[in-house]
Amino acid sequence: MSTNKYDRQLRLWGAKGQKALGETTLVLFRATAVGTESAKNLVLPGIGHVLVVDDAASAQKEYSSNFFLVNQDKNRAQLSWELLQELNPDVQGSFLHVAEGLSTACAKPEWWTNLWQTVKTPKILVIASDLEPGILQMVGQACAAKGVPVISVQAYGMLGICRLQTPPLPLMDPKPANTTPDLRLVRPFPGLQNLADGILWDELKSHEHSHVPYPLILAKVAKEWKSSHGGALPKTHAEKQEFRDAIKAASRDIGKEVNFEEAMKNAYTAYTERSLDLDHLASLRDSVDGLVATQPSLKTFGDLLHALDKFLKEHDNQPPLHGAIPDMTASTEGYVTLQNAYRDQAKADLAEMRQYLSSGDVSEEDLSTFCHNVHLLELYQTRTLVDEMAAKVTEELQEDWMMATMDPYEVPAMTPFLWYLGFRACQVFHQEHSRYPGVLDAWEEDVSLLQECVVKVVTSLGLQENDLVKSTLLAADPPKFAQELARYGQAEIHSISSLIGGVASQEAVKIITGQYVPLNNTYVYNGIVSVAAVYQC
Amino acid sequence: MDTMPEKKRSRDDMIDETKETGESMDIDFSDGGARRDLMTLLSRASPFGNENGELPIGEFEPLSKIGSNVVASDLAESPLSKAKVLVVGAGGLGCELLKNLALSGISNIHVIDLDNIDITNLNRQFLFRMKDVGKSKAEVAANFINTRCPWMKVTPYHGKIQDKGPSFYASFNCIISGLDNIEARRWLNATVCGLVELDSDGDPDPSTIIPIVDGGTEGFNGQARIIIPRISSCFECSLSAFPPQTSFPLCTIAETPRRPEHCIAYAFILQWPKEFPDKKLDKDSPEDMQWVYECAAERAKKYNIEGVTLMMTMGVVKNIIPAVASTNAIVSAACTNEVVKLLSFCSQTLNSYMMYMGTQSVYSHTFIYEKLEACPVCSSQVQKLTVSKSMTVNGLIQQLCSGDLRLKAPSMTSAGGSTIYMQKPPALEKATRPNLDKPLSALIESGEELTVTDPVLEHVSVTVRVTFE
Repeated sequence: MSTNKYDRQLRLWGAKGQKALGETTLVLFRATAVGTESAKNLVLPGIGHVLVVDDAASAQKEYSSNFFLVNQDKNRAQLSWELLQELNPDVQGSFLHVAEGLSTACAKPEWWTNLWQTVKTPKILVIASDLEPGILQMVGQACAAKGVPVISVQAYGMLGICRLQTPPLPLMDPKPANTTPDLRLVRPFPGLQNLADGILWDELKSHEHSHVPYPLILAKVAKEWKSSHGGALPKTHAEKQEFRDAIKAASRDIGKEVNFEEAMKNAYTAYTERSLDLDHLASLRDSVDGLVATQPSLKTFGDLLHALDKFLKEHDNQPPLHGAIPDMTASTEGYVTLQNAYRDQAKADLAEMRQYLSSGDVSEEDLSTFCHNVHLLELYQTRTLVDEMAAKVTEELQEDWMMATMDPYEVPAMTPFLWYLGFRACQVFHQEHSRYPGVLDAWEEDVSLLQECVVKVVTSLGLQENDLVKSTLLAADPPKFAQELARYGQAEIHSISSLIGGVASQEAVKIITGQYVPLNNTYVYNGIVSVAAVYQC
Repeated sequence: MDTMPEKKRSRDDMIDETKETGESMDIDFSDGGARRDLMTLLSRASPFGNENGELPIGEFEPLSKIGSNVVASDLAESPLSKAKVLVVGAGGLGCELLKNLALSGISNIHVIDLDNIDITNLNRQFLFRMKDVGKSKAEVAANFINTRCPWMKVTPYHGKIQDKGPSFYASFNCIISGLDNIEARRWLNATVCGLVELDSDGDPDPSTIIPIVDGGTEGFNGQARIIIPRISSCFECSLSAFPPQTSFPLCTIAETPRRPEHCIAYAFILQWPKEFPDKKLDKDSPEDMQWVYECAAERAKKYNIEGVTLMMTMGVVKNIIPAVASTNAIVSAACTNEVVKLLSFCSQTLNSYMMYMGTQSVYSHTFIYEKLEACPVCSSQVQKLTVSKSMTVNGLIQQLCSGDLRLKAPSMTSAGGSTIYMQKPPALEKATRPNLDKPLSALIESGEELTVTDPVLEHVSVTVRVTFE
């Protein structure tokens, strides 16, 4: 039996996603535990290549909290890659020991040029593990310039942070948990209307009558309704009730005909059309058009958006048909015939869309994925790490943060956003003192210094008047947050590293495969009580 | 495999290193080098110790002087190194859990799993290699951890959780479960909740309470929860959130197939027993699955239904749930983090359920899962049932199975001590079988209590008060 070791994941992202994974190189900056855990979860599902970049000469001190290090006298890049490699023989990889230190290397443009040149795959994804703020900014800048996504992961005592910075990404395969079937009953296409017209109630035997698929029942009842209502569909509540009564009246015994029950339940699909958000599509087109010069990877998406625009103009704003129908009570033949009608129309729409494309390079799979998701198309864009660390504040961000503090966790002090601010304070502390708070034994002496950084961060983000922030971070005496964060001393707690490694690798898969929706842009895990949230930072 | 160092690595080494970190002031903190670890948290006081949380279990007492003046004996006194923890399941979650516990200084572990390693495990169960396919998960996993982390003592058991009795489960400080099915969770939960002894006021004896930390995943989604028997809600309290699996109606499968899944169900539910009346379908046999696939494909062709593939056939027959490394990592890490806190009190406790949904951005929600007031497992409450006077014993059994209690094979005795019906041993079953068709009202009074036992909740008994309409 052709059992594939990737079977359980192919059921999520398919052969196309798997191929994308295989064409990607993961560049891991520093093999700290959160980094190797992220890498583990990408090596296992078969990422193409891994390059471990690290400047730690020795790793002997860390095997107690990092599974991919053992007590051997090798540099951390080499040691971790050797152990990661054992996980999956399909994955190629290498390591780069940066003897001069990352802070020196990352400052040199030619170092980056060399680094990118060593990568041979079409796609690159960077995971930056526990990088100090200075290095993280440089990595963020270099990745933005190269158009490479970077995921910054931090395990900091009981806190975990996963922060995404990517070039603009088209989201055309979000795979929502629940989908609304695209039945087109308000404006039936000819193939559908013909099937409905072909049904003559009185000539059907009872088992045939009880197996007419509900979309056809609705199309038929709606046509009759329109002819008796001057071409209009039900609008008022009373009319809708009447419409349902008409369905009931068409049934021979509503208690026994399940197909008519299904028609009643789905009656709204006959008079409510799912409309496309045309303004949203227009703004997507504008954004992509503006970006495509600098982001060539958006070309296909832009082309598809313009093709869709033409299609909509030709079809009175009706998008290409999806073509799939849900299961329903029906005879085999009735169901298959109906399914074919939808499928044929969808194929025709797809062919028409193809004509509107300016490039022949768009794959059939991309075209059909795009058409299947016309209601859900998005352009995913993240703020840069540099902007975040420079505390650039926008109105939109402040609104987001206001929301975060207006809707705190049940125990308000445990709200993850507050701990994000605390973590930022630790970064600011590092920028000022060239070390994280609490790393020395006299950790309690750092508490008041750290509290000063907390105040700085809060003020720089304009949150000093926020009630929740004020009561928990600013007015607290003693400063509990600063005490707790100083206590951490940037300790590497394996469970936190592993959790964030899991989040980062899940997000990496979404970015690489172009499937599902990546988080935007920071996941904060508060391991004190296991509460987490996503914020724009 | 790496070659092991001459000197056996031990917790003492870890402490020595913590000590070095603390003492040497010339460490260059910018090179990403020596990091502090969990010992730092265990040795420093916290304003957010366990006792200050919403679900306090114990008071955090920092280990004295770790950081600058550690000696090995301090560590021997660490609640983590003294603890004995059970990991139930050595699969996707289990592999992660064992690694996480090893790197959290929890060295005395038992692991139990009845499965052998399958090739489709290798995309996430990272303690297994191709050469291990077919071997015991528990044994290979334990061996891997004990070799990679020499300070660990993982004891494997290759078998069912039901092979072990209550006294086995009572020997642990904490139990983590990474199970893949509801029935095993119910059994484990009931067994561990059943260990709690109540005093004359009905209050639980804290020394008999063993916390369970339970994780589960499905695709990009997962959850982690804490069960403190009798204190927080238990698994049975939330049973209604896990509805029994629904299957396709038989008439659809037999007469009006529409979807490829219907054709597959036809092949393995209806055609297999017809073709092989004496042979049970072996879902792990490639030949058997190939037969089902071909049979389904043939039926699909006959009805012009598209889409039957071998992969889909396997998915439908084995009820395969997609699984990836990342989600297992997230859920297992959340579970381990709770175990560390439950044992050391170094931080607060999850109260009591965290869910993680990763497909559309990340939606994370932590909330208190409320206790079910009349939980049959953790409440001591009598279950009230009103039935018609003519209901037979058999009818009651059906109701106990299909109703909220969702039992599998209940046996029952009356409060007066007379046996109504026993599923086993065979002699007793035979002796009580004539009762099945009798009306209940001929055997008990209205309002009388029945003691019901069932294999799914093996080590607890449920009291049911039956009132006749």
